[in-house]
Amino acid sequence: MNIGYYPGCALHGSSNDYEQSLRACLGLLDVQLQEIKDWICCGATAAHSLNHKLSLALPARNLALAERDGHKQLFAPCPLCSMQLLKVQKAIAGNGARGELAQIVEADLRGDSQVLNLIQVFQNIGLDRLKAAVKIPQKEITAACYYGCLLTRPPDVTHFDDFEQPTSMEAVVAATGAKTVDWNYKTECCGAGMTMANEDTVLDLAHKILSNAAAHGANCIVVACPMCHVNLDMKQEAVNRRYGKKHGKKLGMVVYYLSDLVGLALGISAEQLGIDRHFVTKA
Amino acid sequence: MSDDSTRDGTMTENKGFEPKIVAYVCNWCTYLGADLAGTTRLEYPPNVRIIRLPCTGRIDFNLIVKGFEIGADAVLVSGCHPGDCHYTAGNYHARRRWILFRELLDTLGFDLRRIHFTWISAAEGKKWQQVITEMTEQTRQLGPYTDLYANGSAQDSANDLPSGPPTPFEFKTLPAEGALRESCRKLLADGTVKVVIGYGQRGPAILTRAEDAGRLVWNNRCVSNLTTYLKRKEIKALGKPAVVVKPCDEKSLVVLEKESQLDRKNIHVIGMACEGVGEPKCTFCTARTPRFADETLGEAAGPASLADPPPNRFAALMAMAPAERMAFWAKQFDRCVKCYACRQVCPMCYCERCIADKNRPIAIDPAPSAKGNFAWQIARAFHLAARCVGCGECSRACPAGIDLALLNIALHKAAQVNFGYDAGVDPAAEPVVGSYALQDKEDFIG
Amino acid sequence: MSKIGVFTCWCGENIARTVDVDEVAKRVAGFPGVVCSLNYKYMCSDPGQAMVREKIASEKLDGIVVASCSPHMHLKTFRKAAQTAGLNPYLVEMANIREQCSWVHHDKPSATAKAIDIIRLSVAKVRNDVPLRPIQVPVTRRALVIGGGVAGIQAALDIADAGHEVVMVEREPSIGGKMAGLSETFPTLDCSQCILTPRMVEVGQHPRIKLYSYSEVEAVDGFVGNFKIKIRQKARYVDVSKCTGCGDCWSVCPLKKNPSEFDYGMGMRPAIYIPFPQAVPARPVIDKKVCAKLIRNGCGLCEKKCKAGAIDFKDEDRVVEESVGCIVVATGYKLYNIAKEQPKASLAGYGEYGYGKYKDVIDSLQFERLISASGPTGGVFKRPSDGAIPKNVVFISCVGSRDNAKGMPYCSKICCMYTAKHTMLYKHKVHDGQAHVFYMDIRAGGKGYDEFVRRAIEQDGARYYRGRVSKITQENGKLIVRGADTLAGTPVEIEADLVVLASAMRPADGVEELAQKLNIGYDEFGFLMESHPKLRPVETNTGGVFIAGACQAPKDIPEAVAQASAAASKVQVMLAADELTREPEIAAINEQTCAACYTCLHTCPYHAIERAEVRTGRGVFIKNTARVNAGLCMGCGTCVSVCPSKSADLQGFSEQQIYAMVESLV
Repeated sequence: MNIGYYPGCALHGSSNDYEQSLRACLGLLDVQLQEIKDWICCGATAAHSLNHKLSLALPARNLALAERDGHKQLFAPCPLCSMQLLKVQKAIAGNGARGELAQIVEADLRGDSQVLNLIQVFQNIGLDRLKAAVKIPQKEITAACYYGCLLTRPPDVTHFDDFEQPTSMEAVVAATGAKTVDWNYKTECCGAGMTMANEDTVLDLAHKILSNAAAHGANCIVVACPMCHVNLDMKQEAVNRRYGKKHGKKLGMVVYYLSDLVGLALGISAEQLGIDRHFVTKA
Repeated sequence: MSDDSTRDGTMTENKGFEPKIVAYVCNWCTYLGADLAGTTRLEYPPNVRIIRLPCTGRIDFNLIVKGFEIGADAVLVSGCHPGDCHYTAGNYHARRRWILFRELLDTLGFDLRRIHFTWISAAEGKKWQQVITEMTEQTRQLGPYTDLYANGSAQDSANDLPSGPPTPFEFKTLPAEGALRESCRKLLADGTVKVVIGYGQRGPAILTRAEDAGRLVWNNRCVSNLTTYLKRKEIKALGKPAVVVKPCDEKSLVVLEKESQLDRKNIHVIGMACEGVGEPKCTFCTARTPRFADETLGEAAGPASLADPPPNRFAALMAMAPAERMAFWAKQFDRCVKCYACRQVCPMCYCERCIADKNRPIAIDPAPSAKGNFAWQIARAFHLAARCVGCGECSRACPAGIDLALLNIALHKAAQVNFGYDAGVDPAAEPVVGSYALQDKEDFIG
Repeated sequence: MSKIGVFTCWCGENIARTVDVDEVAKRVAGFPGVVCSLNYKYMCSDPGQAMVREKIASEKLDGIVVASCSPHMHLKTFRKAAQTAGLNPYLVEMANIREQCSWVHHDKPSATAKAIDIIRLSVAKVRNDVPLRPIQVPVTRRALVIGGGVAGIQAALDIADAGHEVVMVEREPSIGGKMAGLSETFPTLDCSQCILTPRMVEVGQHPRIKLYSYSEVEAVDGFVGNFKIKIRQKARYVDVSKCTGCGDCWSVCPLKKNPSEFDYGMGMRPAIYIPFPQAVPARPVIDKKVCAKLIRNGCGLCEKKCKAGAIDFKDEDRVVEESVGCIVVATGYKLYNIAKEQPKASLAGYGEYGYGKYKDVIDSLQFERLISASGPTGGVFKRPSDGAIPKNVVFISCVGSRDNAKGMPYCSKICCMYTAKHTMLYKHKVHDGQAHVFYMDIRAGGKGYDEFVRRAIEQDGARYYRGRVSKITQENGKLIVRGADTLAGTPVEIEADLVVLASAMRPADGVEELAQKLNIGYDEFGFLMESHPKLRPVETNTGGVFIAGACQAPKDIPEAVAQASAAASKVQVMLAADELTREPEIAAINEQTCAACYTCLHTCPYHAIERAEVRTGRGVFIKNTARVNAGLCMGCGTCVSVCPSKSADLQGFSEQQIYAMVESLV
């Protein structure tokens, strides 16, 4: 199966371990990622605060490119990107923005390709098929599935299963043989957008997420967002420095991409998946 | 256009013309609104004569026609706003009937600018003043309603409708004839039914003896809708009937059953698969096999519509200007002799005493005059609103050759467009008259 | 043939200024049938009326027209005058030449011409008037009260104390309703049971109240004054006539762990139980869903223990019939269950508040039971999960109310007050505890209400935050309540031991089905519709059916009681005489010509038309027909318009009259 692939800036930069993990994991499941040519930045969370039209035009161009390449499905592993793409689709489906946007990006804009996030890619593969393909059931894993803020929101754009209390990632994790916990911070913000601006807030939020997951018995966190990963993985040491005393011990939470966990279950090595390149590699 | 020049002429001649306006208003809202206009001393022209009725639900739309008959130049119907009806829903029922009745008057070429509908509440004295003032002024501009019934005379110059060349007719007996005779013979022989209503060589065949089954025919001359005989007293007296129906005729049974006029369990329905009998009505008919029959004979496929449909007379009628339409009908009705064949042949006209025969009051002038003919056809067509199944028997039965079904088509379309209703198609559908919906359209109500 | 008198009024100058009344009288005298035409300065004055009466007698008039003001003003006056003079009052017509003529026109000749036309219309009508007699409907002088909450109790006692018999139907095993479960009531903090239970006992012992508890209204037939009610008495498995209420049965019952409906699941009850100690009737029922004897023919201990021999495991539902003249509906409310799972998608609950997930998130009625002296915890305030005494309690108001997303845009009205009360009751029980309240607005209109809320804040130290709660999570046995204080502009996070949700009030289950049986209206939320929101607040659109209490809209106890008394007084008016008098201007059907298409039956807004048969004197069937039920018909005449053969007609506005009027305008 070939699907269109929009990596976005993160997967070709700070989070190239995510791309490594995706290609390894999905390749084994016979899903080939075909990167759309000439893609540009999606505008993420910055563009819309500057210029509404620009914030639609940037992802619109990527959508048009995917259509040009004939992709019926477009996989955007970063939730910021997928949300931006979905927002354009909503804009051209609802009002007359199609004509104007097509003019700006100088391409046809049908809006008929399906934008997928990582969870949906696994759903499309089929959880039964996934279960059958598992070689090493991840019995030692008790995961706290962390969706973050943008995977499920805004609800009328993403149409996620339940934007407050989603369970679709848990279903994928369960297919790998791992356990999941019911915890409180599934869809809270991790503060990634503040990394540079206000570290106090970021550390506070990250600490809450990590410690709540631990308090509910999780031994790792599973994410489907490069920003969440960076924040929870990279900042964990800083969190420990600040809050370690309070707990009397350090938090040691491995933060997996969802594709890492599936990859491990499929028998792919941690190195092939790039897990060795994470900051926290052991509990 | 001729009628415009007449109107212009009338206007100049009638500088001092004061229109006569009849207003039918409900007792609880509009009448009180008019009272309020009085208590607050809001002046308006003295042309309106108010007839107080308990509720808009009580306003029978024949009264609008009656208003014009007595020389009104404009008619107003006014009641409580939706949701305000003193009797909870009378205005909703009225609104629904207005929607249909307006279409009928339009088809007949009435000048709709002279018929006004409004909702005026007991608090809207001001609105009453405005409505009457504007209406009077507008009617003054229009001048006296001389176009009514084309001025009472049939003009030869009136338009006619196009009709295609006569369809070549080639008599053919249809294959199911044998099966039909056999089935009816059995039904009579074993006493399942006491009487069979079928087609004979000349007109209907009413059989009570099994050995007569051979008199039945099934060919492309079997045009008429035999369900109309079910309402006849003398046939009812014979006992349980079997009736031969085509898929189009079958719809009458659905309506009649809905109106408690027949007990479907006590009727044996023999459905004949039909590919059309070459009538104009078959042009647009797509029904091939009866759906509710007790037994279905024959097979039918064939095209859903004829390859070369005759000109659409209804569309041609509606393409005329209203005054032309009225002239057209005046010319048509001029031939009417009030024989009431249209009523007798209609399966839906089953009243024991027709309104046309009622003499206290005389709602419909029995004379075959323009007034009487219009009144009768309005009553006939409106009573069939959202009930007529389009069998076209009225047009076929008219000895004067008036295409009466055109009026029924207008109402059928109105029911379809406004209420998504097709009489006789869905036995479970709620009848249009007798129910209402909050969202019924009211863009024509002021 | 007719001898009609026309009396034209000047109304002082009001009419005479613009209408030439002499001219009018002269012209009208020439109308066919008019034998006397007079004008007078004030027709409605005593001398004016005397003149009318005198002429009726001296000229032997068989119909009169009073040309003066609107019939809405003086028709009754002149009908009475005519009646005094021996003329049937329905042979009186008014010609409105004031409001609709002299007051709105200035030009005297055209106003006079119009006045003459208006009188012409009325003369045409009166010529076709027929004498009518007011309709007398016999009245069964008993009332049915549906629902035994505080509103039903009040209505029943008022009606019964006035001397009429009352049938009360309550679907729970005991009367008392929601109020019986409350702890103390605002704004006086008097004990709910202390004030209600004596009233309940009064109902139980009242010689004129027949109580059907554990029963439901199955069917309603008939019309005002003459309702036939079918009541389903659900199988109780206890013979109420033998039972003494000693309690041996429920103390011996081994199946004691069933969530108590009365305690909203906060306490447990046996399989055979009375809902609460002061229940009326104080007779138990057996829960057939849990009783071992009824499920698998086991146990049977209660039967062995009962000395009165009152246990009857073979008991079955019984349907009894009662005749009543009036009905009071007082079915009350229930709280919106805010759990995530809901029967309708539009009601999907506040999942994020964790109701139904966290044991210590409860609703207000559950709180009432926990804090009640007679509650399952015996008056000690303990939280459901572990029995600990909660030191921090968060109250959230407007849960589901004023919420368009949940389809309940209305205000539940009482939550502001009872939440303030809850904080007080809590503080009075747990002195070192802290109550926190999240609110949208405080709506404390009512006698002593705002003072009460201030007391909760100022004396009992409740902390009020104006803002919504976004999420409740659980951590280390605490409920983490995260919300906003929009006045301070800060987020608020509270580690609570218990959260109380003031959920929206909704009508009781099954009220829509009941409303359909009674043919009364209800709004999109299921609250019953009053006939007029201001002037007929306890009447419904069906004659003889009244509403009281929270089934009409959210309301507190004093309001429910006031409305119940209002409904009761309406009932008393109706039951004051053996017969009801109704205006005779109603529809009638000519059964000879009726084609029985029943279009009128579908159209009638009052369901006043019935299917009937015409039979010979010996009972031989002739034909079907429609028939008007004079008890139900309100006289709108919609049936006449839809009748194709005009077999239906409206007395007082008959076809003949209306056509005569129109034709008079030629």
